[in-house]
Amino acid sequence: MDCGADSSLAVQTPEGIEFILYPAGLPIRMCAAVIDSCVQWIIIITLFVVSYLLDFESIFGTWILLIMIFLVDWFYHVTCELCWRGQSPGKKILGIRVVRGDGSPVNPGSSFLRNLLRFADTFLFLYIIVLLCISVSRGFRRLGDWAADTLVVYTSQAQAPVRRSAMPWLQAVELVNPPRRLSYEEKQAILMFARRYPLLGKERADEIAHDYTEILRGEGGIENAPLPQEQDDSGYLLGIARGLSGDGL
Amino acid sequence: MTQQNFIERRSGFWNEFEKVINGNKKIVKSRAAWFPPAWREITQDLNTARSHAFDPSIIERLNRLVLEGNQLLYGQRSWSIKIIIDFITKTFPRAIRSQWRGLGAASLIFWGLALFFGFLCVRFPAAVYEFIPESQAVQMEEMYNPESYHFLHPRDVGGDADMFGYYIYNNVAIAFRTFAGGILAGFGSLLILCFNGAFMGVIAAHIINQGFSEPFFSFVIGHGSFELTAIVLSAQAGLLLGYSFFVTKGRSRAASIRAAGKTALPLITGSTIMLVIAAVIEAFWSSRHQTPSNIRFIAGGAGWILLYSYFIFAGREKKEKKR
Repeated sequence: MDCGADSSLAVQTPEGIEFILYPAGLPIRMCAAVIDSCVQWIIIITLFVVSYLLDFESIFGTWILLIMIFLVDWFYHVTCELCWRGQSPGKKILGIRVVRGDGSPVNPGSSFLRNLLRFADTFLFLYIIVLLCISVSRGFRRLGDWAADTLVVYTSQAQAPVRRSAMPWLQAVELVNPPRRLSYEEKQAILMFARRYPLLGKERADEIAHDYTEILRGEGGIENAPLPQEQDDSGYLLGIARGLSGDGL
Repeated sequence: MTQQNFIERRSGFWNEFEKVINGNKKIVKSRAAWFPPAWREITQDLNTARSHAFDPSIIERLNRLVLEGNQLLYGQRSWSIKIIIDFITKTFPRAIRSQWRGLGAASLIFWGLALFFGFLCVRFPAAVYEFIPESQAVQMEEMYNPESYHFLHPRDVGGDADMFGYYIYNNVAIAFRTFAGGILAGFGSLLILCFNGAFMGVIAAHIINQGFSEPFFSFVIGHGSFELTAIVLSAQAGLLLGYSFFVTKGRSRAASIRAAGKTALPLITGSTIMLVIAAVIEAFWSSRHQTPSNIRFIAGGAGWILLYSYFIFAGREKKEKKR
């Protein structure tokens, strides 16, 4: 398993195909956990109310209630993850899911294990263990995830709208021919930069682009390079990106 | 191949694939034969897009299709009764035998502490009150006193069922906590194991001191085989996790913990099953005080022997196969 410069992880399927997983970080998982415990409480309270109204105790006895509470306590996450392809209600709402370390869907064993260890993860005051563990580990894993070899990743639907929009701001810049053949990583980096350009703001974008642009300009030789101050740094990279993204072809 | 004509040529197929992935079970079923080769085609497209360094948005879209397809393709594992039977007849006893050293150590801690505190408190009866509050001691006496109310008035089946629910709720949760605590450097498992061993010793000694040893032992021998062994099992499974964190045997720490998780899983699953059995015995058999204690001792002892011979002999490969 490789990791990129960001939090993404590259995994290989048994067929030898590599694809990228985007592990979900601490805040979104905390939100999911809060929603899930609310759902658990609602289920338990409903159980109590229903059993009180129907006078369960005199018909069946309290044992059904006790066992139901036990099941909701310990098997809520397992059941949800197995029935809904790795998603409990909280995870479903926030668009994250549990998968195994190799990207394959979670199976009963690993789901059981990771959720048993939920107790150890959340047992100290303020959930210190789970906070530390998720924050410092690669792939944002808690102890249960390490033992069961699982990951919590974004489902693709969650990130699709942001990442798949077109980039109209590229139309405004002038097309630039890259001074040499760019490597795969370079092309991807330039395109990622172009995609995030509107979020960065002009000044910050120039700051980020500056060092790399200088190298590219230097490599281009005198005849290829645009005049030094003709185009600002971010504009230069965006120009290359426009060529790469296919608009200029 | 330029990006533009790659998209033009393939995007129809991608849309079709996307429809199946986002569709309900019916659509998936109707395309069941088409799906695996289609998924392979998509993975090919992903590799193409990557090697040509096409736009990240295309690569990401294909990445998404591969991931979701992977979930679908490998997701539907069927449940069969055979898996459960295999687990009970083979996997579980084998897992136990493969861990006999660790289990022996955990049993030694548990029974050692129980015996130590037991003898201590039989020898010095007043010591009991150093460990447990007087109210609890009185309550325990009451539970095993043959002249107390519940001995003379056996509860009905409904009461038994209630106790069954309570034992599941309480005991299985304790086993789960014992196991989970183990990943904190083994500390949680060890603590609960030691505490339970010591507590059991003190209580047993106190009951013996009161002269109620016959009702007490005839009560615990029935379900004790399953219950106490299961607690030791889950503690050992937890200790395994903690141990693997420190002793990695040349692997990375992550790989070591992952391997330990794999080993511990059948142990804790089996221990859960054993505790459910123990709860049934404890609720519906052990509490039948009206049964003569001879019969209860014999049945309980048979339970111990059967359980341990199951651990030792079940699921061994036949010798012809080994060669």
